[in-house]
Amino acid sequence: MMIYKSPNGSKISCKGWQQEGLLRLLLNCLDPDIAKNPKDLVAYGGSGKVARNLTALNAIVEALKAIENDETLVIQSGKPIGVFRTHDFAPRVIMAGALLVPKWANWDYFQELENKGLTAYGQSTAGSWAYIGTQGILQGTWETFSQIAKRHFDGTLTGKLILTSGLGEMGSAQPLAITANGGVAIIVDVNRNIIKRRLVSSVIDIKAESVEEACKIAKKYIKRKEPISIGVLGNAADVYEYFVEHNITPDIVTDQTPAHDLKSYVPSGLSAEQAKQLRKKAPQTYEQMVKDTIKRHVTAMIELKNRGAIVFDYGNNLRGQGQKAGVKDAFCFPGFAAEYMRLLFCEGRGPFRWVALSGDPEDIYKTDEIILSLFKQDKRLEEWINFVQRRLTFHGLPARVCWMNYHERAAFGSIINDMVRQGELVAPVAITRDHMDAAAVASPYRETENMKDGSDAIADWPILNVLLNCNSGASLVGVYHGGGVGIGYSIHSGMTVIADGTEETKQRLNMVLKADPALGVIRYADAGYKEAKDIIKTTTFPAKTFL
Amino acid sequence: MENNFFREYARRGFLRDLLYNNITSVKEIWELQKKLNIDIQPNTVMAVTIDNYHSQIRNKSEIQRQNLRLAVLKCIEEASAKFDAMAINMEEDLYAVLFYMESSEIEPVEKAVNIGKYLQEYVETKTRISVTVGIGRRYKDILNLHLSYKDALLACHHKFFIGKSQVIHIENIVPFSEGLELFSIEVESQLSVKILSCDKEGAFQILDELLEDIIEHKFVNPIIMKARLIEIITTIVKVGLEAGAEQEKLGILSGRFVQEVLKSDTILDLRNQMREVISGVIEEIAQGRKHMNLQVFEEAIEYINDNFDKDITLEDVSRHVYISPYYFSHEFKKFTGMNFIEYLTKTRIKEAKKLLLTTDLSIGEISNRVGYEDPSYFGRVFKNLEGIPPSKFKVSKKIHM
Repeated sequence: MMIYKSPNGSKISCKGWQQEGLLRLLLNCLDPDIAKNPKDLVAYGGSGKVARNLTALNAIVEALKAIENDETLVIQSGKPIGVFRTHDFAPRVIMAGALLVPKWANWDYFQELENKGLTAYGQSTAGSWAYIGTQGILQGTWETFSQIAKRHFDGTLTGKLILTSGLGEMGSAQPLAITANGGVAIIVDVNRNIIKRRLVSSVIDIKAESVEEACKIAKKYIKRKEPISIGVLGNAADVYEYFVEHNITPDIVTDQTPAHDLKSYVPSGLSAEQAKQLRKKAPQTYEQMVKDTIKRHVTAMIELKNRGAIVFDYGNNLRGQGQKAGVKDAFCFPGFAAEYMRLLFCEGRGPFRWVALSGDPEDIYKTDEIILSLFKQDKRLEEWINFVQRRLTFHGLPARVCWMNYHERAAFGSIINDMVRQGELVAPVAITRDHMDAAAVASPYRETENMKDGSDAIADWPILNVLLNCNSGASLVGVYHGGGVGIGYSIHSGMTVIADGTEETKQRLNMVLKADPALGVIRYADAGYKEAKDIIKTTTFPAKTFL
Repeated sequence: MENNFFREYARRGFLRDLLYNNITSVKEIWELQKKLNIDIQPNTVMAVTIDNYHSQIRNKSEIQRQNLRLAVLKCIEEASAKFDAMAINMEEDLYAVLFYMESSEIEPVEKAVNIGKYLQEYVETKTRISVTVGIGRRYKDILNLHLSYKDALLACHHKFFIGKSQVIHIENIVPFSEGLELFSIEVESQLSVKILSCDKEGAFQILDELLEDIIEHKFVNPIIMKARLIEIITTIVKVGLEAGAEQEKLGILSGRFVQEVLKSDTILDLRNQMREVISGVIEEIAQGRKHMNLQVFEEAIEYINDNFDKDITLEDVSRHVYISPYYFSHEFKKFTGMNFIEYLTKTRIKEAKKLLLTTDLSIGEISNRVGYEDPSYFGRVFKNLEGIPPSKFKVSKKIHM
């Protein structure tokens, strides 16, 4: 088995840093400490691949090493198809991935095509080579709870009780994010081993032996106004009903069980191990049990909402499954993206990230210093940086994630480029972002759910986003299908600029880092959001608008 | 120069803090590493323990002990340098080696075991001291490095069953069972019987069967096993006390062996310690019995001397000195050289002779006074012992006088 890892240091094997940077990002996605299944080229998220297959990967690597500074490599669903003479300001790589004509856009058909080797599922940042490991999930979760704190509790979760469930890959970011925001978390998981593992690695602070004990501990910490995360073994539906029956109303209730996949959701009355067996032996019985449990699960959440808790769906389609199971008003509580991320998108704030191509953590710590001095007034940013510096070990190429708005991104990008030019950083830095950004994604069940003007399913925006970034000088642009919520449910775009310290890149950064988020503000202004409308009217807004 | 000197001390403190999980921030770790010139990113830990350390250092001066510890540390450091690892002493007989394992190793366990073997052989060849190496899992997050150390310690504990001078990877061990089903209560009563009858070999056999069962069926967590064996020691000691062994001696014995059992490195060690404690208790019982016999039989003889004129039996006397009739009969012969009836008869006849010579009492009266109801029976017994009947004895002696 071939092992892929990004090269590091300041020596390059390509004909320029633009190509070298993209090559390093690609290989970094396959680093065994970052990727979920590097053998199959899967970076994360079930089956999100960085290239169609091994042959394609090798061809891409060779092409990146060979292309000149005025050429562009074109990639179709993870397979390189040609190198074109363009011009030096053009992207070095452009991509389209997993796209299908809408009528055919479903999982079954997609898999048929994938099996024939005609396409590849790139998730979001796997396909655009911008995956950096779990920091993104951690930041997203941290940002969500931070937004809730800001909206409902004067900016802090201190003394607040949060009830949630699921300590799996995504869910395990919850306890850290909640306690980092000062809150008291009770997290339910049905798997004894997972709870044990999370306790050993300090993801949760305490394991309670029973719900009663969990509540007792929580009460103590709420009184003391100290943060704590308490893991408790149990079934989410049972535990949520316990809260209803005992008249305990948490301040916030959500859930990260794998409700989106009914085969993984464990019904009440079964242990994780028993569920595994029954699933095989009697799939129909199992399915019925799951439906009964989900119904109780969602009903309990609705009751807690009626009693005053802030309740939201954390993107696992719990409401959808609840509705299917017969809960009529399952959609009476909102999804997290529409409820808490939307205002951020309105000001062009999104999941911005950068990667030290040197491989040296020092480069990232230096950029952290810049963040802290540049945005001194932003206490949340400072809290995030302090938190992530404390808890996160770098794997592969060191990276940092921060939610920044359009003018912050441009200002910061320019400084990074200067630092590279002046040799303050060991090597250039790749500036990129997640696809879950204002203009970059159309996803009616998540980011664009319940838009004010009903434009949930309009997918022009990510296409315009990619075209605009291409013209603004991004080093890599791409448009993709099906990330996050699956085939048929989303269209999204990725972009990366390699800050190599040159004057040319300064221009690239100035244009891309403004245009990319500014288009997002326009998208939300167009949908009728006042916050976005106000921003586009300001004199410093980087585009002329017609709204 | 001076800086290097201090940096070395700081480096050790840093590494220990890392393994004890005393540092809370990844960034802080990074900054300390930079300041201390540590350029590897350790993600795996090996624990090295000196086998039979406690018996190695027994009767040695502190300086000798220090020499031994430092000699091992020096060798571990030398060997570690060969694969860019960092060595540190954690406890008297325990060292940690921190190193970096590629995430991409095809057979990471084999690779780590090979490194462990190299280190172990290096130390053993150079110092002639047997060591065991435990190896932890690879943890990619530096904040979890202490978990690798814990793994390594746990792996080391498995030498208890596998024996000393081993390289044990955490991935290759069967987790200890917490069950105790092999330690039934019967063991204690069986052992007690053997010990009461001073049957050392029999007691050893019960112990051996018990330990063999454990090795064959289950890796019972050594600490649980030791706790149970200490309980057994307590029972044995109690049995010893009841059987007349000296309290103070047994106290010292049990105190010493409880410590030895706790320190036992391997199951073989443990077996030896248990054998010694069993031997010790049996020895004390035997000693106690010897000592006890003197007092008891002196008292018994006094009782016989005071009461031979009554119709006393073996049971009466043994009851008087609180010993079982069977045991009394057995031990009485050892003490006096004759059995109870012989002794009683001898005492009675001796008194009868005195009365015959010093009084004018009739044979019938004398017979009664020394405890025989039937004078003719008395006569027969007397003749048996002295060769002549009591009447002739009286006459002949008087003539003689």
